[in-house]
Amino acid sequence: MSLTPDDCEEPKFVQLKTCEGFIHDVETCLVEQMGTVRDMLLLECSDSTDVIPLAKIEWWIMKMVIHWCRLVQDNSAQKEARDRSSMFIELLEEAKGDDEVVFQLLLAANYLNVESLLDAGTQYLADAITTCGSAEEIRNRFNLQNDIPSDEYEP
Amino acid sequence: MTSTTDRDTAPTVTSLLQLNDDVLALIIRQLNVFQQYEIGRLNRRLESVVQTIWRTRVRSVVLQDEMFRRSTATNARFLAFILALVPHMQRMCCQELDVRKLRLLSSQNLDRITHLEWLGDSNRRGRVRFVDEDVRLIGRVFPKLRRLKLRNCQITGKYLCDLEQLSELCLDDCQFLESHHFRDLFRQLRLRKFDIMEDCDEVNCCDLVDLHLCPTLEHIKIADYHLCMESDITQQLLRLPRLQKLSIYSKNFVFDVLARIARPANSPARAATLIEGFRFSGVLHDYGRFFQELANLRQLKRLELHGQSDDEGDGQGLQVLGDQILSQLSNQLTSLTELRLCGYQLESPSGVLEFVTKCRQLKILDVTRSRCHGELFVWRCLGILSKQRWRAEPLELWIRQSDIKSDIVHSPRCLDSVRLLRIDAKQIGPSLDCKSGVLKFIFVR
Repeated sequence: MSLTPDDCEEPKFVQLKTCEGFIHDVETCLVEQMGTVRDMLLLECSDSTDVIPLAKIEWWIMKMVIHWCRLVQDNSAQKEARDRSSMFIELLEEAKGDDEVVFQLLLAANYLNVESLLDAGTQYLADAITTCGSAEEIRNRFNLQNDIPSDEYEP
Repeated sequence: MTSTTDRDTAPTVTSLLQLNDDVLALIIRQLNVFQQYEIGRLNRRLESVVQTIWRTRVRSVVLQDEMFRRSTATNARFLAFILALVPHMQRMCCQELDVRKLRLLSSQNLDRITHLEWLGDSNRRGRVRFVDEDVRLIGRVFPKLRRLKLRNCQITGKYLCDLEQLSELCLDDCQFLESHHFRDLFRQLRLRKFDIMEDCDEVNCCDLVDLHLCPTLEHIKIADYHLCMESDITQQLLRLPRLQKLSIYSKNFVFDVLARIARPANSPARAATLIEGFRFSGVLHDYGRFFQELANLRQLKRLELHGQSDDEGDGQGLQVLGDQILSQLSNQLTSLTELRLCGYQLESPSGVLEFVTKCRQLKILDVTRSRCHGELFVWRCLGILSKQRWRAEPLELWIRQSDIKSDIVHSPRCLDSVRLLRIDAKQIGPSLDCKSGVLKFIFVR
């Protein structure tokens, strides 16, 4: 279901306000990829001049999410998982992002329901876990608190 | 990027646990099941996420050697992993797993597991083999086993009869089977399915002369040489009271196999009348003779033939079905309700359309992948159907990947005739496992 019914004049931008009060003007075609926002607009039977509040999203993360959506739209032929994985790695490298960036992106993707970003980001982390040589390496890499007594597992 | 407080205290450590459970589950689902186990051992929250996933997603598990190649995958850890999986697992498939891992389970009782596949490595060099004693182990460890598949195993069959609950047995590329062990197997087990068809080594394969001693058999898959090794067991098989499907793999003796089963003189009383379905996929060089034998199955309701191109892959070289032999067959098989001639070149529409004329109960005509002379086939078919005043239901014509264009369904003539002919350009037939050279007989029960 599109945000732009045929009998309406097509709005070009939607305004998204992050938790700091910063407003992003986002093309409607990119908002289509954000399931949460798309559904909110459809339910409101949109007057798209309204500002959509996104209280859980910081401005810098929103900027990256918008950039991702633009990348996906511009490279729409590349639907294969490995192509999206490459795009995700490029996105991180441009932002010089570390694990914190990845986690914030995934939380935002989950909140906004950007499926492509969620798939690419979770794949990235799954691959990182797979490359770890041992469980301890996973623990150290991702700072996992050890709260299980060792005798619970060893037979 | 880390966050700091106004008082410049130590920065918060970035951790995977910042993610919510939904996102963690999406990540963990992409790991193999052993990795999931390992990550679940690291933290309570991760353990909880893994358990939630396992509650619904590990009823069937595939284990492979490469999953355990990390140095930390010790024997103790492997055992703990299996025991953690057992409450959720019902079907286990071991693909080229080191058999020594299976032997680590020898003192366990995993009675929730009812299906086991042991798919050994075809590259036998230097590998410890799955042997007869491992069958005994399976009997102890999996006491409720109902379905067992063994591939590339070095077994004689000695202890298979001890698997008391077994109802389905598949033996694939087990080159050391000894015929005399099968007598006990067929007498003692209440097997419903028995499959020994694929890749049985013709040099040292077993004689199944006692197959008929298992009256519970419903599905049998064997090769042509099993029918007549020391003696011909065809008649005994056809007398099995619950037999529903009999599949016979034949490289070079298709006509002989068909004759043994279809000819009234060869089969026990009423056997040929009990066969309601027949399927064959492969290359034949004498369809006339093939159809002659097939014509003996007078009560056949479902006929399915899949041709294969002589020149693989380029769509050319489809086998030709002549009008005369098709017409003759249509005179004999008048009880057909489904006719599937997939992947053939028809000499003309006439031959196949004889079935539309003579088989009053015909409901489905499937020409998927065939060359039928295009739209002419459809118009001539409609011409026949329009004269059949007795026809209560439309005939379904399946045309996917044939030379009949799919947009014919939108033509005015077809739209006006939908009560006579319903064209389906999307469906693929039911038989996706059309292994070449297999004759499959389906019995009325």
